[in-house]
Amino acid sequence: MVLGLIALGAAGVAVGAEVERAVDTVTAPLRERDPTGLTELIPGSGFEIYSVASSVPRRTAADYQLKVHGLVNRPVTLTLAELEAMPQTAMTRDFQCVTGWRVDDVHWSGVRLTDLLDRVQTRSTAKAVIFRSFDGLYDESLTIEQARRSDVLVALRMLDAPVSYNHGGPVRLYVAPMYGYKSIKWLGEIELVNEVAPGWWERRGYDVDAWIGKSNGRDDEPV
Amino acid sequence: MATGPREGEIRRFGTNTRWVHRATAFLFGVCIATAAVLYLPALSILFGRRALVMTVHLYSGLALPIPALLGWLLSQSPREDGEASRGRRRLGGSSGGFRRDAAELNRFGPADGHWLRDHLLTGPIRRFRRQTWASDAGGTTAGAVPAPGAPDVGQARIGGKFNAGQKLYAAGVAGSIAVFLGTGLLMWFGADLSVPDRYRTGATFVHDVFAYGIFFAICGHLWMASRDPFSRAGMRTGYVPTWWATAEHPHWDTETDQDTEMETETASPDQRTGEPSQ
Repeated sequence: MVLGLIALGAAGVAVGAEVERAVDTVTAPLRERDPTGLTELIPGSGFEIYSVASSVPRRTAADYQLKVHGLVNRPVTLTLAELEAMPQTAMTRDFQCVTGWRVDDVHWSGVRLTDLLDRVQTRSTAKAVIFRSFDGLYDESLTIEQARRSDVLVALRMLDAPVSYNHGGPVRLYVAPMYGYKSIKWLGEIELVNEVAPGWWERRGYDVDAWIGKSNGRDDEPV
Repeated sequence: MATGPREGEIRRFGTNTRWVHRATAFLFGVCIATAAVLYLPALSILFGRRALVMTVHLYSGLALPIPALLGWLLSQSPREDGEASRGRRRLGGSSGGFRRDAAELNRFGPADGHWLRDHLLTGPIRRFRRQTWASDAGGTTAGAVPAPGAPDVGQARIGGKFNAGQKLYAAGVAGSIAVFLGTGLLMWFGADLSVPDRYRTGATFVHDVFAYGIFFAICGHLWMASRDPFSRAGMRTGYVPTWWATAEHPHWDTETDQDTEMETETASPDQRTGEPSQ
């Protein structure tokens, strides 16, 4: 029995990835129509919800603010309405977590980060962008080249709805080509600085340049 | 059958077996609680502090096999028990209990096959046909009676202390701990050891599925315990009523079980009067 379980476990490790894919295929339609959240109990299906802070304040359109400052000519503090008034970009792209799970074909929309950087007029000395969460703890950063990519969004909507609290709403980042820990949730502050600083998980061992399939010792298919 | 320090009671579990049980239960509790926070979105968001919860989960998981290993190292082997019972029974410093209990749990005999068939296959079907538990437990049907090939005095002096369900549960827990350790280490060190992604994903999947399995198994374990106060007293105080032992574990060889001798060495009646006996 003991050895049998160990053998079962080893076999599971060998084929578990395929089994999980199969389970996910079956449960994906269920998940979309599940009002109870019970499908979240199924291993390997959908989003996991990670939070590093003990509690995260709930912000709404009434009190949400995004501060953009640092090495810029026109620092601003934007409300949710002001962000919604900017040109919106939509894309349908996967979300890949560095712990292995992936959610296919997520609908995202929001303001391109590069449009926001144009609006505040970054100075030539700005080499990197630091993002801080209003959870008070989480932060991470991108180089200015990475931040200027067209597949980096200040997301206002995901999964065909405003970004929910659990997913980092009302405003989060979505960095399509990088692992999920680069897509900071509960985005509260963007600061332009002269060099990249390791973020919260990066200080705990994850790669600062988090390209999907080319970092953290993983070979996932790029998004 | 040896009698306990109090009239009509018998020593079922020695000190180190009970501490192995307590420590393993505590660590499993911590693992399951932290796993729930890490895995269930509602709890993740409620509790947050992911790095702390991960660390607690990792170390409580790594510690899971330690109580059993310590219990094993600190107890005498059943063979030594036998020698002890023949001549040196009062010399041993350690109880000898956990190693003996582990050996008991690991010994599957023909009687266990009968027990399982009776309780898992034919038993439930009979109950479904509105036959009562009493006729089952009364020992008039197959399985409750010593089946042909069941351990008897001449054949084996070990194996009757636990029923087959308890043996399966123990083996399930031991095997699961090994699987949790293996898959957990793959998940934790997979990146450093350049383990291919598919095996890391597979390890995650196995870890998740086994977590469900052990969760429901432990629920069943607690449910069974909740229905038998004498069984609970056995694990809490070490003692069970003699009539209970006769009814539940008729083949338990209490003469060679070191735990039944322990009481004459270390526990005296007046030391234990404060303990509830149920």
